[in-house]
Amino acid sequence: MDRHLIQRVAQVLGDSFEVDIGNPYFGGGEPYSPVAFDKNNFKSIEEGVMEKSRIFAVDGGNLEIISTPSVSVSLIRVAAVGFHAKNRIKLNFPDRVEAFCVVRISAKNGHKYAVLDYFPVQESYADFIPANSTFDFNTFGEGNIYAELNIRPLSIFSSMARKYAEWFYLYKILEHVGEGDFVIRDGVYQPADNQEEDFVKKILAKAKEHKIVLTGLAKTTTLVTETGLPVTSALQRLADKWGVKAPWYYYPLALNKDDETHGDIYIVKFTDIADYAFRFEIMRKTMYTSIETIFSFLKYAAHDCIFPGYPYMLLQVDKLARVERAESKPLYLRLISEMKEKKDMERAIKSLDAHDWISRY
Amino acid sequence: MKVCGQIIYGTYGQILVRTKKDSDIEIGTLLVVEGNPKYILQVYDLEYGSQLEKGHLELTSGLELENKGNLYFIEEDIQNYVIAKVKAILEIFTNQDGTTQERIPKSLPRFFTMVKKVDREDVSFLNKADSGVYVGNLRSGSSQLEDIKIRIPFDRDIAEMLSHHILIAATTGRGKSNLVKVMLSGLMNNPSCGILIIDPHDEYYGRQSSGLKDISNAHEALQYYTQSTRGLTGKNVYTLAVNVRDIKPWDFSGVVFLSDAQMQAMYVLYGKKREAWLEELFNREPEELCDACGNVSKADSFAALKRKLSFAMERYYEDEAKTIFKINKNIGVNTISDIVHALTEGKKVIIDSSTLSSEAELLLASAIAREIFEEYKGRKKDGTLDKKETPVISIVLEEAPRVLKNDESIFSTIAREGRKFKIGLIGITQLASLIPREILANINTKIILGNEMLVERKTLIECASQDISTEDKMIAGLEKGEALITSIFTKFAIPITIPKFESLPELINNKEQKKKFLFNFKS
Repeated sequence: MDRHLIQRVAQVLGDSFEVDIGNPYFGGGEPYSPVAFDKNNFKSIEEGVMEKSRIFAVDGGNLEIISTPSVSVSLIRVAAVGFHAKNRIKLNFPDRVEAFCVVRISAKNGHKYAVLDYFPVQESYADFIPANSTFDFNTFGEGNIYAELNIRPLSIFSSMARKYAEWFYLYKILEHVGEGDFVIRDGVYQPADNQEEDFVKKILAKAKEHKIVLTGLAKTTTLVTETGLPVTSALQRLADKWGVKAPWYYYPLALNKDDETHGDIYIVKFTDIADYAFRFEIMRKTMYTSIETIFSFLKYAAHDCIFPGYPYMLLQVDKLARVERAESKPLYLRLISEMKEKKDMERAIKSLDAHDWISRY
Repeated sequence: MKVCGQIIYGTYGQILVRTKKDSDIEIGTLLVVEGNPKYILQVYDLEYGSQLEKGHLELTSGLELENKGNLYFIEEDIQNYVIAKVKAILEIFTNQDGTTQERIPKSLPRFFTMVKKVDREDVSFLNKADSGVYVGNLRSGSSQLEDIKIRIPFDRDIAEMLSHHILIAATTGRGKSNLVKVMLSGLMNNPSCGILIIDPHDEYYGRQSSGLKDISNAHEALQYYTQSTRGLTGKNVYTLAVNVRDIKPWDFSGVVFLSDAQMQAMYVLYGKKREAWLEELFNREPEELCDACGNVSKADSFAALKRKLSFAMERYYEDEAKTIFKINKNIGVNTISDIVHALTEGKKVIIDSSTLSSEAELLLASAIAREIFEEYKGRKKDGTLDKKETPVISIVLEEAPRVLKNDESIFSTIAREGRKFKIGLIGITQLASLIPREILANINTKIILGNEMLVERKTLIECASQDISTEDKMIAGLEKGEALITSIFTKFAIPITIPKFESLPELINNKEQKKKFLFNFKS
């Protein structure tokens, strides 16, 4: 390969980061107004362990087992772990629930529908798995990602089904979480559709009823500045520039105009050992504990050796909720073995898996 | 059930068990998987396990060591742990009537099963046999199960086990002599085996401290031959003296190196003078012997033969009293036959060879062994050998390779053929590797004590009756008084802790103490 070509690509790549930091950017459709970067918005985080409150971390995972243009089958897994101070606690609800999710396409009266059916793996999970849903493709407006679904595989519905399952599970377990405890989900409070919005509202109502703090931490974030820099990267650059030493948190990045369905955004860096800063959210109406107390504890939890900078309980719940690729094949074979007529389905699968076959060479 | 680990992976010979925190699992620990069949497992190796990758751990450690980070494990017991490599050593089936059957495992325990440490109930079947030679208590790691007394060969015939020979292998100071004393004390009451003990350190009888003389029925079952009986009383103590008439030319095989000419001279002289051949050799001049033998051998050969045999028989002293080999026709005439007779009556005979030279000791031992061999050969011929009254005879030999590495030695013959004639060896050695493999293979019970020498461990592992290829570290780590028994008479290699001889209840003093204690308690 021509070296000059590589150099040119490298140049473009380098240039895209050698830009001014700018200020936070939020698109027009979001209920956030950006707040310009300010040194005073950096706050340091003190060491501390919450002795009274318990923390519950929630996460979900899914894996598509069968994928055809008209039907998709996934395994969805949602899990929680609980800690009291430094110790893991035994939960009085299922710490892991699983369900198959079958997504089918149907058309009626000129409308195209996606039908989501959940099949809990155990009967005891049924209470923690959401009800089946139907989506009218035509309800997805222009600019919405789902508007493009006509040309996308159904796997995107599996992810949606997983998100619903996560919300529903969180809603259900709030009954078992006590006053003053707090929940941290892997992800943020940004509903992508009406159904998610409903979930968030119900969760918020229940959290307020039980005085539970709702928080979330996203492993990844697409937040950028006006100049296109990732916000987490921009803030680390500013921290270096202004001499702010980790651990720190940054707030406000934006003013939240919808605290019923959206969380207040913080950027947090728990240690200087690792170059990781994360987007953290809290539902403002559930702030029954000071943010400093919450961050102190998360800072403690983020000093575990496994992943310095990332709270340990989120790591554990991720592990518990993850659906490994290796789980797919046995489930696929079991499903196939129970089918009377497989020929058509196998042909349907082949309409999407040619890439897989070719990549084996 | 107190769980101490869980099977997480593995193969037939290497099952991996994640151990529970603070479960104190050691190399050699015996574990149990409940069920039917129940499995007995043994830990043979331990290693660290971690959810973190090696590089990650190294980095974490670096941050800690260089004081550049404040990292810790929030749930250390979940993230870091010890993996035990174990192997199944026994499979126990419980029948409908509650009886059990044990066999060498042919399957794997159920995957992901919990394991616990072995307890008395799990191995109570080992207590089924109340006969057998008590060698110690079952050991799990470094702790012993006091209630589980190991008596080999369990429900099989002791005579069979003894005639299949026993090897006791260990380096110095690991408790070989104590083990022999413990074994012999258990055999003292057993008339179905006669034991000859060649004792180069005079440690078994207990002249200075406690020994086999202190076993309650020693006065009946034990005979002690020693050169110096001073200070000893008792009907069972004899002066060690052997009349040279009882020594035959072939007793020198493997004891003294003789040239062909010297060998020829010896056999010619024996042919002419029969039992009196040694008297003639020592009392006459070489030239006279040459004449007496018709000049078949040269005077020089007789001179050299006389010199060599005198040396071997310690006849270089002026004072005949200093040698055990007597020319006087009235001294030591029946010693060898008396010893053999005692052995055929199931008695235990200790020969104190501590004052003898190595050659004299071997000569004496060879002469007695040869007599035993001839006696039992004769019994085999006339059909009396297999009678119940004929006890098996076992010969305890220290530094066994001395005699076993020599093909011509009577002991090598016994090692190879003894079992046909109910004669066995109990060989004691630090250097099993010097014993020819063919003979080692014929020794069907090996009691292995601690040994740091790799080559010795390797030899023992290769010649063991069970596959103990994974036990290398375990053998290297055996403490004094710990041993591993591998035998064709056991289903698995049995780890034991040998009690101190002085603590055995068979000892008179201990019994008296016990009585005294009980008396005081009652009163």
